[in-house]
Amino acid sequence: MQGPWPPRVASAVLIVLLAATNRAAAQGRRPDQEYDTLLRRYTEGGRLEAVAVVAGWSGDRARAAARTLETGDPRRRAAVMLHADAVLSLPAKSAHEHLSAAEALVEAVSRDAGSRVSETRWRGLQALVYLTRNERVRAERAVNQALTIDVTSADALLVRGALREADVRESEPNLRGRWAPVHEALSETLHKIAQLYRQILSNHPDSLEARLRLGWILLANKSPGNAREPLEAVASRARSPDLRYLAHLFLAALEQREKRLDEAVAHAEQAHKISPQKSSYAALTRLEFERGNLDRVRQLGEQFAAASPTAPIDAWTLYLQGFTGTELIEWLLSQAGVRR
Amino acid sequence: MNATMIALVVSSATVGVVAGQTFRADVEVVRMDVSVTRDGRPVAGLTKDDFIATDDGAPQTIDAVRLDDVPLSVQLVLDTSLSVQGGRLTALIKAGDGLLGALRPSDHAGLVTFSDSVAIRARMTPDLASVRRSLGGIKGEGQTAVRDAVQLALAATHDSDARPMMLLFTDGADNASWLTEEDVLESAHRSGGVTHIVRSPARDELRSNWMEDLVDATGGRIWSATSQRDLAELFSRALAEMRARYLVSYTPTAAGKRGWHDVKIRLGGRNADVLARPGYFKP
Repeated sequence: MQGPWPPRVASAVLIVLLAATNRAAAQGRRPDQEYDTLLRRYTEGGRLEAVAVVAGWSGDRARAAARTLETGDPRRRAAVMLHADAVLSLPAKSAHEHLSAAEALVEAVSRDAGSRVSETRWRGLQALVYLTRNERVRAERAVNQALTIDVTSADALLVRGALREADVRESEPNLRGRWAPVHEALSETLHKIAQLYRQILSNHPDSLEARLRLGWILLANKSPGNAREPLEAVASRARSPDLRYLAHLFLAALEQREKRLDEAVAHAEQAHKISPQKSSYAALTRLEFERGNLDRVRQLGEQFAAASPTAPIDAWTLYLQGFTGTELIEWLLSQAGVRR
Repeated sequence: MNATMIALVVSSATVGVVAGQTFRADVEVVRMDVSVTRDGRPVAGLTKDDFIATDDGAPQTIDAVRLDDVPLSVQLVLDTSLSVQGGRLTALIKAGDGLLGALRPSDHAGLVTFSDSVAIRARMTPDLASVRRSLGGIKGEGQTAVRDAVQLALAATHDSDARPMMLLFTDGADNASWLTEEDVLESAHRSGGVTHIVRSPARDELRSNWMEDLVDATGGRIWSATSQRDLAELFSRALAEMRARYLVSYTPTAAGKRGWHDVKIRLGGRNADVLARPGYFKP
């Protein structure tokens, strides 16, 4: 639970709330006290509680609440993220309604700010949300909307790449398998995806997410030699634990493919040390089976048995859903003034 | 002796308990679960003189053949992805409960469920009632990571004198695993268990023969359901098939090399289908 507000924050929030209330009253709209309280809670450390309440609202309730925020109200940014957060915990039908409430606010926020940076990045998040629900047409549409605003949008292009990767996995579920034949058409598709990630890097050379995905695609396209550099760059430079975890996991696969089992185990152990997850347990037990180190297999099996029932979602699962790190969400939350 | 090999290559220290035989010190014993059927029905009454075994081509002297009375350790590995909801989930729980109820007091069981995550809900235990209770809490959600689930179920196998059996249920193609098909097949080769797969009509077209390869690698079988009503029956038949197997053991005639050993087991002078894993890994 959040504690008492520092006096300066309390004053600032009060001034904002009063201003918003006055504007709403001046424009003939009634303030929504519950919504105001939730927005305040959302930004001031009670994010999960606020999201839980809003996720229980009907679409009509959500849209009505969003309409009470008037032009220039700085809480609109927080409202966008509150509804977007709620979407992630909802079944599809309710999620669409919350997403549409957020979408209406996004355009308003852009007008308020006189800048469309937030809108572009939010469209990227919107595309991601659709991708996590495997609603690919909607995801593609959101990508296109983002690219209409900024053709170099890394967020949007990353989602586009993730969409293409999902298509590839559907045609070849065993993509990384060493016996899986990568036929010419599939190889060409992977090449195009790699080009997409290179395009992102040409405009955003610091994008470690694009570098990670590029490394993965090169590995999948049976080009481990070219995959090494981008993956090692991510492993050494990323601050995000998930990015470093995945880079080491992918490097373990690369070394395994090159028959360097000791190096593969070292990378899998590094990933495991960052955060023991299903994929690192799977990778390590597999490699230790191969090395004949069955005592270690048993030890890992016991550890996994103890940890698995309450394990958080795996970074590899998130990768498959298009999430490559949390930079986008964190940026949007910070823009919304959400205290973490 | 390492956990996952104990069912295959058993040291002299433990084999006296397992197979009721006495062996020389420092000699390893290979044990193989063997199914013998004729026209789909188990063939009963065989003795060690009926079997012929070769290890890397070298003829072996069968030490013992036992049937039925060696306990099983059954690892249930159940698909609880989004496609397994409602009636299918109810039928799955009922089938799992029926199988657990048919186990004997000397048997062990464990429960692993998977969607895109994998959860070991009950570790291998003789407390079968606790495993049955664990079945009650499962629900269907998420994607399908069957390869990772099989791998982690193999890793979670504990030392036991029982015969390890994995009973895998799935109704869809893998779309969320980290490991490749080949990865898991290699691990299955190195493990000692027999894998049976009960496969429900898949919503996604299965594009590979991985499941067939997996049961071949472990000497198990695939049981195909035509509807969810078949699940309980097929679980029961898989268990009965394991009970009807022979446990063939032999002491390799020569000090074996490390690594893979090709094993062939057949019957001398009888017509029957013999099913066993194709060999074992010596660590």
